[in-house]
Amino acid sequence: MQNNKRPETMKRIANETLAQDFIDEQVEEIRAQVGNKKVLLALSGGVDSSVVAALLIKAIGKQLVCVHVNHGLLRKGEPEQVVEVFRNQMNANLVYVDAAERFLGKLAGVSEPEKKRKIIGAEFIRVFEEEARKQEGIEFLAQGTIYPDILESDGVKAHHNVGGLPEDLKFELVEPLKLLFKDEVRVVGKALGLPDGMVYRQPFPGPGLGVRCLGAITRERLEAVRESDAILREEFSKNGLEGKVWQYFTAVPDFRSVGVKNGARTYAFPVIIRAVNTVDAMTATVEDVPFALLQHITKRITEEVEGVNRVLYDLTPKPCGTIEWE
Amino acid sequence: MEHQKVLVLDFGGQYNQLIARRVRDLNVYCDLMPFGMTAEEIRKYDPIGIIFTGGPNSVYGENAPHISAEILRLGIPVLGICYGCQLIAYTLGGKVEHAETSEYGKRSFTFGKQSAISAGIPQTSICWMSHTDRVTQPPAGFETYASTESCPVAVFGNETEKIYGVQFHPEVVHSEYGNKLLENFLYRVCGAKGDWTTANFVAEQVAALKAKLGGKKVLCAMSGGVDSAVAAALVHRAAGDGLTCVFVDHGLLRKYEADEVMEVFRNQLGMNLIKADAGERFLGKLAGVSEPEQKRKIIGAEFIKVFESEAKKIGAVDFLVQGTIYPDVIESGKGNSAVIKSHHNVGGLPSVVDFKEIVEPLRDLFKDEVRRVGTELGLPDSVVLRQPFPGPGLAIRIMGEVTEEKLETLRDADYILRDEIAKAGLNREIWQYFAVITNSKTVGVQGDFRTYENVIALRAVTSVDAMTADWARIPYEILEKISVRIINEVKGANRIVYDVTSKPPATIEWE
Repeated sequence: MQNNKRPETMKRIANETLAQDFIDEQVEEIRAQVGNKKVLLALSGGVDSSVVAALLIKAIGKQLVCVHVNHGLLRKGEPEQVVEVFRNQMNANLVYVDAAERFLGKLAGVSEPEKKRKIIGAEFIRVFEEEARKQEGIEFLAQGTIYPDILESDGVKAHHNVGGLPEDLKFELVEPLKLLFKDEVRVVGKALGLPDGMVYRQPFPGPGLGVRCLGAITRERLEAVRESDAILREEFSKNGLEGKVWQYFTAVPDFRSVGVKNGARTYAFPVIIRAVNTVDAMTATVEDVPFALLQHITKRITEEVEGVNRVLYDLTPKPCGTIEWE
Repeated sequence: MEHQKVLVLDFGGQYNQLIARRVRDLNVYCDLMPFGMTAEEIRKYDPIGIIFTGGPNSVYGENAPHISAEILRLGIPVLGICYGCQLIAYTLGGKVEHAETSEYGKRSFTFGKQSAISAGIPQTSICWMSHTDRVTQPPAGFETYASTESCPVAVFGNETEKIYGVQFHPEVVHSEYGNKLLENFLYRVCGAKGDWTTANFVAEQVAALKAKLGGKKVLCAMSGGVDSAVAAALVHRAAGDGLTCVFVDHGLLRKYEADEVMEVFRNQLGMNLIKADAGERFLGKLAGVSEPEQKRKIIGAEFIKVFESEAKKIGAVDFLVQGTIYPDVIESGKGNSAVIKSHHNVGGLPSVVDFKEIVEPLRDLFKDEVRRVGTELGLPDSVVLRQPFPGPGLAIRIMGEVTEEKLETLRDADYILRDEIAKAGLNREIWQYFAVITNSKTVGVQGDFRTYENVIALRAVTSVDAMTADWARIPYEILEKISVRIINEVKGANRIVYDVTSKPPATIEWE
């Protein structure tokens, strides 16, 4: 599919049958494009890259090499889920790279948000490049480009999810989802047998928890972000807010306040909860989380997460505050 | 000042101050004293009735506080609440047993027999229970008046001896007729006359203070807080121009606060009020300091220095007024049977003032009584209903270094919060509410511009005694209104968070 324009006749993929038709058609096209060559994919565990992986596994099996870079900034249980779903259940050719120490080392003492993002982005490319060079005979690079990416870049230029690879690593792109909208990607993912937790995963920034561990990242606060985020997600899911609230997460700032535990003074970090709704991600409103649930989540976080004695609920709409904190 | 007195003996329960406040609200004066008073001491104190409070112990426990049976033979009416009720049964030979399950929360209880303390209470009503031990058999000569499903003896007593025990907590609002029961005990059993009223208190205090302070030089340090304001106003009635007040404005007060103190006390009440403008001096000392304890120390020490230099100008005085109130007195007397130390609520001031005696006109009053006295004295609501405010002021609500810029941002944000809470009519039910400026900056968008500004936290709690506090459930639409106003109107703020943590595990203040 060379054309980057979605045909007006193309039906919105809204059900299993249409998804199956799309999958069959893409499997054919991928096989025709790739032949018996090898395809490389950076598999983050996000919706788009996961659906691309599942589709390519169906089409070409072990000709696909998935590289999952764990930069140590993923949410609780995510790297494990990627290994479980793709290596154990789908029998994929998965290269799992544990680069947590490497990333944390590079980020030590860096507090400026833009600098943090750049370091994480650049380091990611470097790790991916190293893995790519270890592989023999790769000719294609698969990407989870979706139609909004194409529209954003005027439908002219190809949109590179993995930008910045050096000149000598020029691959031909495989972008099977590039004419699909997000909701269609999810329907296709479900039809491919991916678990709900993956298909309905919330948007997650590339730098991951790195931009939610505010200021200079420390292991202690990073763990506090990860654990509190897991509690928030678990409680939202149990209480019917998963799928209803557009995006929710926790952040841990770099300041402490006084508290009291078992009669003794504590001086610990707060956890900030952000839960917002949006139609288009350009503007966002704050979710009115029921107070009883908010109290329950606060209680769990202050009791279960090490080094935390206070919970704050973000009341800022976008504009003026952005959805993420950094 | 002679009025009838009730003695509330403290066995360590969490609602003990509440019991004393309920009695005071029923216009009967009472003192809350440690349980170790002897029968002889009690006779000397001469109460019209005694109330035994609840407590965390079991009467059979190793270190359980007990009383001498003599106290129950003084001929003074007694009401025992919860532990106090079990203690009466235990002391007089009744039976107290450990129940398998605790009874906690609202329960329906029914009177099987009427008595003086049940007058006007329906046969069946709701009471609030919190206990594991219970009386299973009242002492000889006592009758069971009421029971609940799981508590066979919920109320018992002896009409001739005028001794009663109630297992539930009449002082807690959840007990529908709890207040009626206390009123019955005071008025029908003890013969109370209701001579403890705000108007009586003011009249008696002013007369007593006139006798003591007439023609003397009196000095008072005013912080703008309720206690010192009411103490000053009360003393002013008695001492007139003999009273000089020193108001140290450390520049860390809330918006318009310093101006209001001057307006009310100098202009309206015509007091002899000296204002020391020390804002710059304090800010200078605080420059570069971000550690909370250090900030507190600097402010405390500087406050005394400024006050001292003002006091020197005035010279020797006869009396120094302090706004000590009853909970301070109880606190400092804890575990120290019947000996109540004088509590100095402005630490260090007495050492720098040349005075002969301390006057503490509010030392018998609870906070709500202090407020009523303030109103009786004609002080405006803005002074009388002022929230508790820490001595170091806004300095401990600015995380990290205190700067004029941050102070400005915080004052404006805090003012909007107070304004909207008042407009929503929530200012009486929320114990304390304020803004905090964190030392975290975040990205935002305003218009088409990217901003990088301060995060403001809003804190609002409900509490009975500040020992524990719950975050206030302010409706989302009001929280939204406040946030939007702060972001739009306050320079230097682009993100607002609401503190949803109770105390414990957090504290009310942040630093």
